[in-house]
Amino acid sequence: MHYVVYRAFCLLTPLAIGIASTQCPYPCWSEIAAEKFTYESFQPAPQPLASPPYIFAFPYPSQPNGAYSESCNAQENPDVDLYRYGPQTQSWTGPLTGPIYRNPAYLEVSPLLTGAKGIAVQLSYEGKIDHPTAIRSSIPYSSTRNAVIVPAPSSDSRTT
Amino acid sequence: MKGLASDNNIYFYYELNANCQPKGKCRVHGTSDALLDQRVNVPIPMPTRPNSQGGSDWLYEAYLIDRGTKWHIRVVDPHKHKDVAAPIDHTIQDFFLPIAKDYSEHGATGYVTGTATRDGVLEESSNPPVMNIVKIYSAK
Repeated sequence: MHYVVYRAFCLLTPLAIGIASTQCPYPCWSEIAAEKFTYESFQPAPQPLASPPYIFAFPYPSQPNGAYSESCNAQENPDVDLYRYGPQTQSWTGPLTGPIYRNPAYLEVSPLLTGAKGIAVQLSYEGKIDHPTAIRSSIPYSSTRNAVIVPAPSSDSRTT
Repeated sequence: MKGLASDNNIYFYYELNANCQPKGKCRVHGTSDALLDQRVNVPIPMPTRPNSQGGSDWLYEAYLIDRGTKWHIRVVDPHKHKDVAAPIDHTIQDFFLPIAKDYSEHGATGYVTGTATRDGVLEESSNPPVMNIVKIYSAK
């Protein structure tokens, strides 16, 4: 009988240790592999390559103009109606039903995630605007590069 | 996370009703109630020295603590996984608190996106600003 208990203990102890060692305390980080991302652009264009070790390098080559895009639809979020302001008539029209304007931007989009409580990005910056003081004082101008968790359904929140 | 050219900071931000400016663009379905775009930017100084392997890349983390009432924000050496500076505990503003508490309890459902955007003309630069992403993580 003692032998049986001892054998069971010997078998269970490594198992318990194994389970304990595989538990990941909060925050438990999981890498989102580069190949999991989907490349999106409202204009047909090949996906730009980044030099390893970088998986993405923003900004991608120039995409000077935005466009109305079917992939950015006013009815994407059923809880939200979108309206358009007409400067000449100084009035709003809507709710819109078709494509909406998308700013010039390429996107890298992950698969749908669940249970996320944090985000981490390993990155570096390089370069600069030559005359930042002058640029900042000249509105409108902003230059941003971001990685962000956006909720689902995403409405037009991916059209930064 | 967001970067702004030339100011030596990376910004962690959280936002409600993103891209809903100007007011009136987004409204509650079936009503004329405008949804207000609200955002908080938390500046995080970017380390100016090289990391432990001589690179200029760092790991920037933000995750919920204290039952979703705060963001814990760290800058970490990506190779030694040690904090570069004192972490920031940012108390979440009221407009986002219900969402953060829900995320803390159940986790968020959504996508991670990487993008670069600009408004207006891109100024000429002899050394154009670039953000190089090495890896992206999510936390449970």
